[in-house]
Amino acid sequence: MRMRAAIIDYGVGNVGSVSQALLRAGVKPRVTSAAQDIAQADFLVLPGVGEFSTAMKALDGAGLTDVLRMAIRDEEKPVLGICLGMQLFASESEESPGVRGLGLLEGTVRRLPADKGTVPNTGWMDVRATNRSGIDGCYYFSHSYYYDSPPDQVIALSDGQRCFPACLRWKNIIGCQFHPEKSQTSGELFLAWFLTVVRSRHPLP
Amino acid sequence: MALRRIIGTIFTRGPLAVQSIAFKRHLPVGDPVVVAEAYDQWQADEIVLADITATAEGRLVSRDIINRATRHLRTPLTVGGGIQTIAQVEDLLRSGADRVFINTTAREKEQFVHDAAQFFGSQCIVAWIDVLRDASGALRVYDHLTRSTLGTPLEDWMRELEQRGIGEIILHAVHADGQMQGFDLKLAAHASAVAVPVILSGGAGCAQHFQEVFSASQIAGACAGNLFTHSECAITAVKRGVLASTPAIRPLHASAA
Repeated sequence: MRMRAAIIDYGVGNVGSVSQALLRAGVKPRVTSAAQDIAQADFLVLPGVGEFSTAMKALDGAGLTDVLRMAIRDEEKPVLGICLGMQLFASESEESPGVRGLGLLEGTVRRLPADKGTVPNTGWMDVRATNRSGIDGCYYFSHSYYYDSPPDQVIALSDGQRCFPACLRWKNIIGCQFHPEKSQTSGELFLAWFLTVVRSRHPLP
Repeated sequence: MALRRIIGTIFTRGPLAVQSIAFKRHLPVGDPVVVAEAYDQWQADEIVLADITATAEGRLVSRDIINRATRHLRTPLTVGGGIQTIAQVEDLLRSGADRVFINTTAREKEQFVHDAAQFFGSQCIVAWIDVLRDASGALRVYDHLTRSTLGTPLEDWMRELEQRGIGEIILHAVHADGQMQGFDLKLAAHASAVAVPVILSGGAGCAQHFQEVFSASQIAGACAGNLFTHSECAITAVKRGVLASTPAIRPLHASAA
């Protein structure tokens, strides 16, 4: 049986590319903002492009904030947050002081330091896994903020002078600062790894 | 630092991909979607799709092309041409573009870049600047609608865009466009005027031209259009050539190497 993915559609983010990438990975994706679809999905994907407070307002406006908290924290449904989608797992971001995030992971979202490279950070970077996940590779990044996380949530770091968490994992929650759907073969391998994590947590009949 | 990007440009006129020569002549290439798919397979680091007559004809770059192309793309896509409103930016991003570039509207509406960056994030909003080397050898901002150079010094305009919140600047050398004689290295030197990434376009004719510009300047990436529509696997061939001397680009994945 094919796994069902709910790609959360809240008006920001490039849901089309994520959907196509999952389809190629053998998953049945549904782009949705309906609580019922979220409840029925085997896993969730939270994409996101844009600004922290705009995205949180959009989630609130679609009535999704509590639905997501419940599905991810209480039901422990596997979730992949991509770029800003991962940053929304934090309680707060320097991008939007005073705005509450989903508060699912520890840590704070901070602005990239300008003294060790361009801001925004746009382009491909080597990523090193800090565990045995094997997700090392070269991925596409496009961001001005990064997730400053306690080390026990970090499973991959960006290479180079401006080293920041590239991938986070805590139980059922996985987040990547890069865009796997835009990272050609490396991205496809990353999504395949993510799907094995989902399967190991939720063995299918 | 991110690795230096080798970017495939697709110039379009409405539904058709074209080769552009010095902004004067356009030769038809074919379906832009087919070109985009080839660039993706050849491991371009990014694709820029630019509708070069959209503003003059009062159109927007084709959403249909973006829609059809991104169905199969695994490569970041930046699009532009004829963007005048925030709603159009939203439409293009929803159609599958990852970033948009603004040229004329950035000059005409002072607030536009600021508003777009505020709403979609700076990383999403790119400026395209046409630059022409005039008879005295000076590099000047060029307006393709009136075919004349503008008074604002290039670096002033770059810094102004940066202050308004632009996330990246593409400098396109009109005088080098389609000539395949190499990038304008003097233009590339202006990349250091701003802290945001700067991309250079116009003049690429072989792998060596990329090597030259990467070693001579701070640019974050370099584009080619005509060169990459000339021959099969053109991007992989160029990358292989550049990798021989410049390790700061993304290595080829085994499938194409």
